[in-house]
Amino acid sequence: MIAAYHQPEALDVALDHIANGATPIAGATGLYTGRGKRDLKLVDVTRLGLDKIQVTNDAVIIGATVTLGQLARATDIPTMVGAVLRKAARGIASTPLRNAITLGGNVAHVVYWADMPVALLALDAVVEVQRAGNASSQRPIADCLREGKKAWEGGLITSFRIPLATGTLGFGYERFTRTVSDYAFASTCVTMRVDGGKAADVRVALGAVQSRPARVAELEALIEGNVVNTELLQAVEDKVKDVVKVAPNFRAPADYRRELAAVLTERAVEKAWTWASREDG
Amino acid sequence: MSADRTKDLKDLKVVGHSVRKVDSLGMACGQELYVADHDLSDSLVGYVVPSPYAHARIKRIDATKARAIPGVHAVLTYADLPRIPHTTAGQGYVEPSPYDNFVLDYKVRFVGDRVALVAAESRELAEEAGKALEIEWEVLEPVLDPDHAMDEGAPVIHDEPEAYMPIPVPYDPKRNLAAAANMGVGDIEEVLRTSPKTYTRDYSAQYAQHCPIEPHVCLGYLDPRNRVVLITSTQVPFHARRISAQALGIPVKRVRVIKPRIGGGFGAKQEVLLEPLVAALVLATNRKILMQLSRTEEFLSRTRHPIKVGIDAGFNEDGSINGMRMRVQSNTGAYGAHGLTVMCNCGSKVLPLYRMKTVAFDAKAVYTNLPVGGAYRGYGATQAAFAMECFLDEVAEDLGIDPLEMRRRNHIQPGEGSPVFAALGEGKPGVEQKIGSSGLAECLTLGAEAIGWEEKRGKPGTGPVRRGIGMCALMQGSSIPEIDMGSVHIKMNDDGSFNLTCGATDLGTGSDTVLAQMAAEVLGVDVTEVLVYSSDTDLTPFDVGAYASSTTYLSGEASRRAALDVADQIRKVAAEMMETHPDPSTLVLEDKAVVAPDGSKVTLGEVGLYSLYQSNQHQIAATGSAISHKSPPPFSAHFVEVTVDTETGYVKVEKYVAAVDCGTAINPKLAEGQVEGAVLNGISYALTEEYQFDDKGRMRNAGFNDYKIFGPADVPELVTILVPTWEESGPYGAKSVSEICINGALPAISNAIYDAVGIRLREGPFSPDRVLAALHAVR
Amino acid sequence: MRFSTRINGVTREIECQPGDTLFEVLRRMGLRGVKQGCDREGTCGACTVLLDGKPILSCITPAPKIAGRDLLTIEGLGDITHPHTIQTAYTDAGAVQCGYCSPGMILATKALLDETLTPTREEIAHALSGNLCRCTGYVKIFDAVRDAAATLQQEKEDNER
Repeated sequence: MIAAYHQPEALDVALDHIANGATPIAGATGLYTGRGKRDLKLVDVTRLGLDKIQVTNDAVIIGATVTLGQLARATDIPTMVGAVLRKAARGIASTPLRNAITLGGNVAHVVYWADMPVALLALDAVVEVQRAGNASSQRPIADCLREGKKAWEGGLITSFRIPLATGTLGFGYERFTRTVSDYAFASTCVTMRVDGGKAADVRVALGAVQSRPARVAELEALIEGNVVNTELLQAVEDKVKDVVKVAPNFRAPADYRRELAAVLTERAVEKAWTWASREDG
Repeated sequence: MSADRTKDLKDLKVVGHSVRKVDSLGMACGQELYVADHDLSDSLVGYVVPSPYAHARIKRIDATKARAIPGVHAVLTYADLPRIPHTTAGQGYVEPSPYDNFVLDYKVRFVGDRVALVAAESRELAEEAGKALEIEWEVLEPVLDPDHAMDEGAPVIHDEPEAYMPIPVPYDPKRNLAAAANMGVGDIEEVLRTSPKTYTRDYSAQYAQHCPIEPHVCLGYLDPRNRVVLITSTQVPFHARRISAQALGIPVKRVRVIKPRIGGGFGAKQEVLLEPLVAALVLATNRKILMQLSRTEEFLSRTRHPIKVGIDAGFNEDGSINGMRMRVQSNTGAYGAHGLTVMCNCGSKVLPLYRMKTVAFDAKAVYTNLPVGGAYRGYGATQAAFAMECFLDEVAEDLGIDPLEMRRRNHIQPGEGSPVFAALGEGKPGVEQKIGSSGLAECLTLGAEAIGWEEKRGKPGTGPVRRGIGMCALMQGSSIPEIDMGSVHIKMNDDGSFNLTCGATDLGTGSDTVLAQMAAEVLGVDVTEVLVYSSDTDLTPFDVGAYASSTTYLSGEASRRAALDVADQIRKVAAEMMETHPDPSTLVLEDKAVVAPDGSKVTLGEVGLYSLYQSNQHQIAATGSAISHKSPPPFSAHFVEVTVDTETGYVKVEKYVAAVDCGTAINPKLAEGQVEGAVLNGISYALTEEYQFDDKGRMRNAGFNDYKIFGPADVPELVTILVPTWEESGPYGAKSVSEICINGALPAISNAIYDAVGIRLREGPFSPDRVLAALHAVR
Repeated sequence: MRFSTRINGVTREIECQPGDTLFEVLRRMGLRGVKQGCDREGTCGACTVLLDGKPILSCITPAPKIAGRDLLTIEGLGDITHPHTIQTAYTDAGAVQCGYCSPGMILATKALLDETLTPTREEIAHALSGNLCRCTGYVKIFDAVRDAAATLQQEKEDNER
């Protein structure tokens, strides 16, 4: 039962509400499914002006209440960074849901099947969280996701800062579903540059398979500094099967999801390498 | 033999034309009323408290606390209602389904079964009342595996003494046997012993739900004459009236059932599910009650019967069939509604398609503590066609015969009959028939051409994604002969327009329009001159309702007959009106007028005014009724091109061709719409739809997030080819089209997967994990 | 709570509970073109309306969200005496069978055609991705969208002359 619904237009008012126990909501797409929460006080944060996308020389700063629909069409975000974000956003849910789901919302709940965190991890996103009393923090998203919802408890995600890579970035983003509008069974986002003919600044993020979206250090180490050839790709597949900890669910057998993660990662690595190589010399 | 009357269609002005469906614009503007759009002021919410257990007895149930909650107006338990066994199956009386259902019972038989009924001021309050019930349960061991339902010592699901089968067919609830049928012509064992080639295969079709976008919903109230009025989303208004009355022990005349616009059914609403419940709450509260199922509850309302179909057959080297035995094990779930009839249709709608002198059918339907199978488009033919059409492909391959050729050599031809027709009805002998119209041969040819059968088969390619082509042949039926009846009443108005009332139930299929088209054709008017009102048990004549693909063929014939009678009356009046008093039989109705051979003419408006006001006044009107004496099959051939990603197991349908002989398409666009909707539903069934249960029999994926049906972005290229034939026994040559095309995807896709990657999938759905596992198994 | 908003071009005062969904508020106002087909999960699309021209799902939208904004429901698009081109196109293409998904589907179509009158098949599928239909197999829905686009394009060209 929702006892109060605040719609402030000033950030500090919203932060005060949150500090006093109100639950921030943006798209609110999951609000009505979990029932039984009594006397919920809500603060709608979509009128605080956090829905802007700002492109500077070396970064893009995306407001937390930018919707996935907006992000999917944000052709003003340059380079492969824009391509990754648009592709990841475009594949989620459906058109009307994307008009409500916000980037902040897709990250804040730290659910295992969330898709945008996978892309944000591979893009070295930094999360800005603000709290009442002018307290603000900027932390890499990987750290936040490891901590879970506590990373923004009592506060509000206000923006994501993504560096625009100085070298040219290649990416692969693979997401597997049964129908087009479906939660992912597995998803991967791989980004890399090619430096002197070798993979550099490799990021491998995996989603929907483990208990939360995360980068996989063992995979990154396997690829970093190497040529991505057939042998390496096979090693990547094997390594995924080795290290990935499948969080079981009833949607599909764990073995299958493990294998899927391996195949998708292999494909994403190959795509990232191909793109990055094309740009490099 | 049917003469080629298809050329007569050119002379028809309304039939055979894709006229606008009469209610489409109103729906597109959001103005047509569905159940929940009616006046809900002062209404209460009706709610069914669901069972948390798959199998349990209610030893004690105390509703005191529940009733005390402010805003809760009634809580009914089994103690508050008469204990009258009935079936919920919307079938004609005497229903061929066990009377194993009570409005409320002291036993629950699947997770989600009815515990109590609540009327409250909101859904939240109703749910609170449900939680406030004090129940002492005796939890029983459930039967969750149909293979073991009849084991010695298995828990008995229907141990109540009152359950019985109202027609004389096998029924043994003590062994969890809900239905059985055995039929044979010739000696199948002999055939299997002596045939040059024998084969045995087993297949399994899974649970699915119809997923009408509008769940079951019913609005009820007591009218000023103390009658219970039920405005309900139903395919069977007259059965709903009869069975609701029966279940509550009130006279039929005290109940009125009205079907407004409804949001799809596909068979889910060929069931009397909510009506008795709402009626009970109306009587208990004297208030208006709206009961609408949630999506989760809809998944637990009625389902497709999961059925295992096995085939043993003896063939000759040339691919001809000496004899075939079909073995059927149907899981009918916790209640037996449609259990017998769906099971029998496995045989009766599939075996006759192919020529064989010897045939055997060995079937049983067992109870389990799982969701209840009901009527679902295809109705047993879906599950059995999967088996038959995969089986023939497997045999064809072994014999080195092209699968298409295999069908051509064996399929039934016009003028031929099948021993199955007479031997296998629905729990009793069927009806002998010879095939009148058949366009199957042409369907096979045109479909094969459209998919590129010759060019594309056997060319999977290399690389991780492989390509395959598969096909299947299908038949269904048109109405249940000698059993179903439809009637239509037509009366004439002052201006020469007509009111057509019919019991026939339009669930989006366009039957209102099709019936109007047939009447308009006879009466020589535009379809907009025929105003249709349907499915109101007080105001419209009887019709069994929308099932068994009967509306066009049967109710359409009733419309035609009523119109012919009205036309006769019009001619008599017109003859009276004309100076020369011509012989009425020489008068022709066309262009909203009556024309004599000498050219003299009166308009229908003039006839209307004359007959109502001026002379020899009487109401020009007639009621036509029809029963059928055969169930002429529509035929279809489906061809599909798939790609299989051998690394992820993902199967994608690239192109699907459905070539369909439905006789005359009374309204081609509507007929195509039936084909396309059924095909996509079938594809989704083949690839993504299934029920996932936990080990306590609870469905885990009862929502669209986890039970996937195809959306607009999933649609492959769908090609529909209507092959016209003329069915002599059908109105304007029509047969039926609504069910048949849902049966093709499971077998055609399985066959295409074989062409692509050499694995046989004999169990649906072909989900990516199953495909990948099968691929691994052969590596 | 009280707030004002524009619905179908008319400013309305809305009174509701903080937890009311937009769907509940619209139905209470007599705007019953929004239909319920799922359990407030936003998975069927039958409740679609256009908020500031973009399709959203009213069953999961908190009513207060629309304060001060612009809402279009099917009733605002056209009625049987003056149907919108898209409504006519759906009717004539055979894209309306049971009709339960139609208002939502048609509004999603409007949002698409407001952006482009030459949508590709992929763009149509994408625009309608939130709207489920179990009756039609979507084939004639795609036809209807193309027909409406062509008619609107024709009208636009005629007007420009």
